[in-house]
Amino acid sequence: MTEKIFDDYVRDKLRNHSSPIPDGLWEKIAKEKDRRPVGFFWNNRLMTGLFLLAVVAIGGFMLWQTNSNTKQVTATKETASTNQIQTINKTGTSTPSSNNNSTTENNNNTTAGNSPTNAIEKTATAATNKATDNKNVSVSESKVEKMASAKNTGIPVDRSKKIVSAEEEQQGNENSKQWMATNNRASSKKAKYGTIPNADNSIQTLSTINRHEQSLTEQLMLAPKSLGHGELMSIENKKALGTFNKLPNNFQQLKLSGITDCPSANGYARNDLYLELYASPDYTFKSVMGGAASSAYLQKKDSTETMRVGYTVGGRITKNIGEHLIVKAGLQFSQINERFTLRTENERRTTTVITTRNITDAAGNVTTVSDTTSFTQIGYLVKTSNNYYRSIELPLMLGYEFGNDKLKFSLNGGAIVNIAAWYKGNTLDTSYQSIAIAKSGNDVYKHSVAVSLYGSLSIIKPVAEKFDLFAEPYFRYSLSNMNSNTLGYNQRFSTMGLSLGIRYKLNGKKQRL
Amino acid sequence: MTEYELIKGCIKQDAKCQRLLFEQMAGKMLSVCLRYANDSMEAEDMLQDGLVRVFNNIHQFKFEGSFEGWVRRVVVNCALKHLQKKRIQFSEIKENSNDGLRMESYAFSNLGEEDLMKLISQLPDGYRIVFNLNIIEGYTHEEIGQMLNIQASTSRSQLVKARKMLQYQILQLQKIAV
Repeated sequence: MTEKIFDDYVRDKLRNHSSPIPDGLWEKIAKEKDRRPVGFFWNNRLMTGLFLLAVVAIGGFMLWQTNSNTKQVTATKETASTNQIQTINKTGTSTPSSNNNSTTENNNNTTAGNSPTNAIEKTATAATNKATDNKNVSVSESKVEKMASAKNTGIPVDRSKKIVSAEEEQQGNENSKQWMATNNRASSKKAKYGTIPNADNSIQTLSTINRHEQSLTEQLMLAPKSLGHGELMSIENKKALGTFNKLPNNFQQLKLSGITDCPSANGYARNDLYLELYASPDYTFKSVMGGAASSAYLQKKDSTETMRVGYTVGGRITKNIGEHLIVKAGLQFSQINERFTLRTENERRTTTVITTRNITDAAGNVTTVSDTTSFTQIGYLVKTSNNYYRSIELPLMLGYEFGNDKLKFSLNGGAIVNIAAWYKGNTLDTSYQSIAIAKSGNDVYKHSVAVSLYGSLSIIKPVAEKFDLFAEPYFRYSLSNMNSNTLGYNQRFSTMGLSLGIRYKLNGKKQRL
Repeated sequence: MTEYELIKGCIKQDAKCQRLLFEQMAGKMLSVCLRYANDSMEAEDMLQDGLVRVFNNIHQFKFEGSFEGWVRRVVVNCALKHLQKKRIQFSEIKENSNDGLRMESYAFSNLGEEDLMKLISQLPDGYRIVFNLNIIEGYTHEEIGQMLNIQASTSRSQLVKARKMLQYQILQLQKIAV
């Protein structure tokens, strides 16, 4: 007989073979199929962790990027709270200190320092808040020139929006043109060498401002209330923006020209450097997945081990990069505690009892009699030990911090790199006997457990000029198994805890105006 | 109801059509699962996962080729996925010197399906999977190699040994019967 005949026979017999369906299978399938499918990320904890990390990182970066627009609002907050002449002077003098790399920007800055129209632009841009993007801000002086010349060459403007008379507007245009012509020459020279416009020039220029521009400027300067730091736009400011939109067209266009940031005491970026010291009670979840090990063994092992509260202590340095983004790195020690309890049946215990008696006869002789009795008890034996898993780790984190002077929050994500790990205690071997885990030279557990993913939310309460208290609930997920591959199962720990600590500002300087 | 209407109904999530499809397919597919699984409980789990996947992905069936073949393929893939979790070892098992085994057709002509199923289920995991995939499902050794992440030559040798072991078991069964 050839193999083919045998194969064909088996195939013919079994290809269409049907087995009786057990009861209740359809109900199970119907229930299962109607369940909403769980997404890939939720099935894969590693991908979930990486995804969350990426979201935190990208979100933080994007918010950091948008921070530059918020700074413009901060700059104008100061402008709006002072009188007009001071505002122009202040903006004019502060501008060059921030922008001294680009010739185009310097041109703008020079113009900003001397031009009354630019004072209006700045105020206007403040009112438009984040809606004014960087592209608008970086419009060069040549564009301003073009706009000014366009007005004077008869390019039609939207008259419906004006709130001043045509005569006043014409006068304003003439003055603007005259002023532009004067200052363009001056600014181009200054820009070439990157010089700072002086205040005298600004005041002199101000004296030539016509009443129309002054009234508009005052209207815009005084209408918006001061913006809080990080605040987007108040209702009053929106109203002011509405007023601004009704301005003559030439003023609306001029809002496109340069606006500058108002620098803080230590430059543009927040420069905080902190030392954080913390301690945390930890609750650990153990995950054991069967490889070659039998399910009965895994079940028995699970029943012998109970997780106990562990702890983490550590310190880290926190550094701001940008207004909100923070980087954290440090060193920490953590200990996971576990109670091992093994109950073994049919244990025998033999007890020997020796009874000694003295017997005195009638003659007064004393005889010592010893009875030896032994008895065996059969029962169970409970062996208990406290296991610990200790490790030294390197936390590396990226965070996004927000809040106000009273309370701050920080969303953190990152990795915890294990440097060293050691263990002590007992565990169950595959013959269901207790074996000791040595501190070193033992092949039960690895001595470096690679990387864990970490996510947390810090709640920070400033308590003194340099001190903050913080509470940080966190979760960490281990990416690799902690035991060696020879055991036939994969064990890893995930930890949830609450870090409580103190944060000390190391550089100690006042960070902003 | 034609097969086309049944499939269309299942795509529309019609519970009646799904039930009908289950009744038509479940017996055969359970038999497939029983050949891969170590016990009936595991086979039920495989079948449950397989049919849920069929119902959730039935819209992917392009009406090209046999629908039963498509369902069988999905169920077999599910069964293999189950088995992969157990990390099947394709180890070489020492045989009882049955190299020169010759078996006449009458030796197995009276063998019923249930007996064959039982004998196949007694094969070692690696032998059983390769035997099922190649002889009954019709996959080539290259395809089996890709599916199980093993060499095609490993699949061939596993099949040869599976076949010999099965024939040996059939002969043993005959001896007992005699």
